[in-house]
Amino acid sequence: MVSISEAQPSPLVRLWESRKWYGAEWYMTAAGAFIVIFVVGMTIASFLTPNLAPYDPEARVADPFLPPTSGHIFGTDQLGRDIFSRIIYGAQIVMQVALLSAVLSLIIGVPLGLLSGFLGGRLDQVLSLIMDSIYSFPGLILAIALAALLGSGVLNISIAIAVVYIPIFFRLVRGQVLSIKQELYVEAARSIGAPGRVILWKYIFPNVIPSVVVVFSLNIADAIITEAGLAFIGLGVDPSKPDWGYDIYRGRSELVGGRWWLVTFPGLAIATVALGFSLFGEGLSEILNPRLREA
Amino acid sequence: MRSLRAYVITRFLLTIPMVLILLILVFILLRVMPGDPIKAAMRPGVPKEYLDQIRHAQGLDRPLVLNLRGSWATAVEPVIVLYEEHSTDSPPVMLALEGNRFSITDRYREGDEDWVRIAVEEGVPVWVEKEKLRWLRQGEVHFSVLEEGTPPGNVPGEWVQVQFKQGGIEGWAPADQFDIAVNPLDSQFFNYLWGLITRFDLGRSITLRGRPVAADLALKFPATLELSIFGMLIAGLVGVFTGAYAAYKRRSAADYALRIYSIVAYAVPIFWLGLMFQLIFGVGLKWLPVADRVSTQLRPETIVQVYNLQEVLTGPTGERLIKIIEFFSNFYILDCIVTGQWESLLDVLKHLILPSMTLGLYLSGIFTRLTRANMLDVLQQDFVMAARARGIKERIVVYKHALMNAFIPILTMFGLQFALLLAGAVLTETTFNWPGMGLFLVERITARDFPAIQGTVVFFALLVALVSLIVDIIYARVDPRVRY
Repeated sequence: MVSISEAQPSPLVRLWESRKWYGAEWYMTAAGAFIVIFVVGMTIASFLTPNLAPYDPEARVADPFLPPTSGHIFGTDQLGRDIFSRIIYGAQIVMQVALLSAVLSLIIGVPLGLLSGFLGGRLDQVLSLIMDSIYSFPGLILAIALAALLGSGVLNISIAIAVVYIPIFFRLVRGQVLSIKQELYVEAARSIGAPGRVILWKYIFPNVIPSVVVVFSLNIADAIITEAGLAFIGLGVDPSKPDWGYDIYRGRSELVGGRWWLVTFPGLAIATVALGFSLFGEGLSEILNPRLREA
Repeated sequence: MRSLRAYVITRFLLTIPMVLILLILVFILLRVMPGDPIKAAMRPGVPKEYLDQIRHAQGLDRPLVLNLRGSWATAVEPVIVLYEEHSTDSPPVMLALEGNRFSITDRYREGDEDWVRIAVEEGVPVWVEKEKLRWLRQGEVHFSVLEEGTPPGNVPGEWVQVQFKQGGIEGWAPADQFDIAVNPLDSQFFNYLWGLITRFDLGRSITLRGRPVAADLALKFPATLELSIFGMLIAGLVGVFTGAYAAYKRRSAADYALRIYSIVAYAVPIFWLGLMFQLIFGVGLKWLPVADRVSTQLRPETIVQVYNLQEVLTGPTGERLIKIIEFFSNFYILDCIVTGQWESLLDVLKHLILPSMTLGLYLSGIFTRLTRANMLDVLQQDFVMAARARGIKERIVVYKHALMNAFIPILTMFGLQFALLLAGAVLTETTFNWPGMGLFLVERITARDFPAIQGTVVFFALLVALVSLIVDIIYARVDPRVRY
């Protein structure tokens, strides 16, 4: 008799085979994952080596306002810096802020949502009211106001963006906890005398993780756009460093003169990376929640 | 079943704590911020007296939540000398005469000493020490001299009676020389709340010479609303048609393409989309203008000017009417139509196309998705199956039977995207130099004008709360199941 484990192909092969079940969602997720891995890899590499780009992103390497040519494929900006190199190194700030803000809101929003949903009562009411108030407010405007108050810097901008996402994690987790609490297996655990801490940690929390992962990915996409938006109105992280949104902010005034390459390429970079995280999150959510897949 | 009125009342009562929490959050945020908000807005090296004046005019010299140190001081001695610091050794600043009433801006208590710092309001005549006045004149503090000579009570020194034009002057004196009235609610928070509720006072700008924020927002609001309405129209048209089509052709290539479109529309930064439109249609093809609401030479004359209302309407009622009409005059399209300025109307519409396209396409992705989800929901219902069973064509079932029934939830969902619309409007306005509330906020941020930022953010919060209240009530009226 052949044991079951022997018949199982390797996880990578199973992942590849699974495209037949999921169809279009699978390709969406794969395309997203490809962009995500590429950008994250590029960012890490850019931190490790200063020679990732063809030129120094912060130095004058040619005449200003050179249109795209073979030497400078994306052209040069108003200070004669190579735009292609600036895009490669500009990923650093965007990815730092996006990741940090998503992580910050995750580590605040998820535990609060778990506790609020599990304990209920007065704490739940107060927390829900506060979170709903923040949630109802236009996120970007809140982030703008916070960023204006806190000032520049990776941490400050990340905090400003994170505040917007805390209620999203909170509401998501709280809602899930409320419905999981009613499940039979939780009741069974309770009836054999499992303490609340164990129920929360071992029975409820693992079931919350998949949707948290999805929202985490979508939030990173959103944070990338928000960071770019803040930089575009002048609330950038660090004016001296290459930053896609801030480069658009500075290149904006050159548009009238027809110097399109100053804003086009950084914008494409933002859109591509945000799209990657969105596709990854959206596809993942369809795969993880089969109930939603087809009506 | 609850009555609609009961639902409206409960829903309204739920709005109050939410708005209050946002108010408190904004209030706390602006106060815990490191550094002095007034200094931040000013050039460095501005004299302390000038900062004090603004601080007093802004009400930022009050305690944060509870005022226990007293809010008003009435002089009970015939003549009281006020000093620069809380000690009789420091130079004298001004004189308080018996019966004068001042507001208290600070208090110093240590051991037996009990000093209050009081402020003279704008326009109240006061005797000021000559040396101090010379210093104030250098600091560009504005005042007019009333009388030079000896003040009552023969106080030694040289004194001049002056009247301040903006803000006032402050000085220290022992507390026992005053009759002090304590009003615990005379604090920054409660004053702000009270002003907001009774006078819709959103605070005053620091850098724009104390202009009320509410007055500025009233000027900017029509621009934002005009942009939002057209943006919403485009988003609605694109979103509903693509969403319905995706639901009709569900799980086809077109469906997936539209879903990817909805993701792409959201992932593209809205300001960049706007810049690309400017590049293509403005700079490249030269079809459309890329900034502002109207060409300067074609700025529409307002209704008040065209019909000469200033002369027709007089008296307090007329004044109020003119104010209302002037508010509506800032809706340029309406203004042009009412007054028949067709050339200006064309110009205004041309200016509106690119910004509203930008905002509309940005929002359309979400609307495509919402419409599709709602349509799929409706398509599962029995009456759709019944329609299909009767042999009605699938296209008619989808577009007529299902879409009509999905309309109400779709409309409410549009209402719920209002917050997103406002956020999009801020960036669109910045991109197109559109003189609305969003651009105002960005300008105030650049000027580091914190009271104006607070006022604008609070106004946004009120607006969002109001719109979600209205949307919920409409929904409850249309669909009675919601009332539970």
